[in-house]
Amino acid sequence: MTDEQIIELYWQRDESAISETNSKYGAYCRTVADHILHSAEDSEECVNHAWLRAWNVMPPQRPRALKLFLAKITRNLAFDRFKAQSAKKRGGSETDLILSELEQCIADGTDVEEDYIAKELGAAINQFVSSLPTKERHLFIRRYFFAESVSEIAKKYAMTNNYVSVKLSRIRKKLKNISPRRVISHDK
Amino acid sequence: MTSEQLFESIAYLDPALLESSERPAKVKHLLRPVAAAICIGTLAAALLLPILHSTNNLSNGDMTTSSGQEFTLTFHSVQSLEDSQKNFFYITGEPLSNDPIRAVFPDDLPEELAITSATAEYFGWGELYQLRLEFKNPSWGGKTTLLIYRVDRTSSPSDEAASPLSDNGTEPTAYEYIDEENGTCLLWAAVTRDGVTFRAYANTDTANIDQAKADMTTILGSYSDSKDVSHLLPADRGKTGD
Repeated sequence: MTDEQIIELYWQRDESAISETNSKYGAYCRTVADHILHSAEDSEECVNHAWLRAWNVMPPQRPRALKLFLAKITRNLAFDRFKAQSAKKRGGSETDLILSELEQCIADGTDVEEDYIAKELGAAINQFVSSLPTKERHLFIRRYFFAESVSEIAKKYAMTNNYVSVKLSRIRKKLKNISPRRVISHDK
Repeated sequence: MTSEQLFESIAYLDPALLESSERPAKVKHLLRPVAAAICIGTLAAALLLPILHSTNNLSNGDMTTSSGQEFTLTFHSVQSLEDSQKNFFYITGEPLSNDPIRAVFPDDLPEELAITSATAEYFGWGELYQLRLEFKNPSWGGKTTLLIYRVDRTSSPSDEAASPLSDNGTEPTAYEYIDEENGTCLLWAAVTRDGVTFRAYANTDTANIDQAKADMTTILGSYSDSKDVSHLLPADRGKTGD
C-alpha cells in the first residue's frame, strides 16, 4: 500500500490505517525509538503511542513524507520517555552521550527568552544542516536526529569510527557558531 | 538553552534533509570490487541453493550450502492471529454494560441522541486507551462517534501544533472536510476538560451537514459542561500482554 493510500485511510477514519502503518513502518519506527531508549519493551510501547499520535493528527495533517513524519513523532515520544526515565536515573546510555556532545554546541551565557530560542533554533539548525556538505549532513542527521551510534554510522557509510567521531566533532564546533543569540542578531 | 532543547529542536529538521540521509549510502569506490564479488556470490548462491535443496532432501528451514555453511530459518509459532496482535496498538474494545453507559451519559443530553454502542479500548499492555461512544439520532439517522481519553496518555508537551484542540486546550475547535466529488463530509472537533479530552467525529452526506454539526455541538457541549468528568473513564485493567 502506498503512503498516500495509508494517509487516505487516516483521513477516512478507517482504523486499518494503524495496521497498515504498523505493517509498513513498525520495524523502522521501533528502530528509531530503540536508538534513544535502548529497550525493546519501551520502544514497542513508544511506537504504539506513535500510532495513536498519528491517528490524532491525521486529519488535519497530511504529511508529505509519511515515513519521516512517523519517525519524528516516534523520536519525540521516545525522547519524552527518555527524559522521564532520566529524571530517575541519569547517565551511561548512548543518548546521554549524544546529549553531552550537544552540550558542547551551546554557546555560553545565552540569556534570551526561551520561547524565542525554541522558535529560532529550529530554523537556524535547518539552515545550518542545509549548508553542510552532503556527507557531513548525513553524519549529523544519523547521529543527532536518528541517535545512531558512531559505529553504526561508520558501518553504514563505510568509514572508520575515528573518522566519524572527528567529523562529528568538527560539525559540533561549527554548530556552536549558530547560537540563538547569533540568529537573533542576524534577524535584526 | 540545554542540550535536551537542542536535541528536541533537531526534530524540526526539514523532511527533505532527513529523507536524503535515508537513501542507501554510496559504497566507496575502493569497495566496489568487494561489493561486486558479494553480488556475484549471492547470485551464485541463489542459483545453487534450489539445486542443493532438491538433491540433499533437507528438512524445511535447514539446509547446507556448497561451502558447508549452515543456513537456517527460525519459525516462531503463533497461537492465533489475535495473540499475535496482543501487544499492538489496542486490542478489541470491551463493550460496556448498562451501568457504565449511564455513568458516562450527561444529564442534559437530549434523549433522542441514543448511545448505540459503548466500548472501552485498551492498549495491548492493559492500560486504558479510550472510551468510544457511538450516538445515533433517529430523527435523521446520523451517527456521531465520541472518543474520551486522558490527555496525558495520548499527547506530550513536545507535540507539534497539530491537535484539534485550541491553544488553551479548553475551547473546542471544529474542523470539516468536504469531499465535493463524492458529496460527503467529515467533521471532527475536540474539547479538553480537567485533563480529559472529548473528541467527536462524524462522516455524513453534505446534504445532512447541518444536522451533523448540530448533533456534534450538542454532544460535545453536554460533556464539556458536565460538572465532574473525572469519573468518566474506567480504570486500567492491568497487564495483559505478559
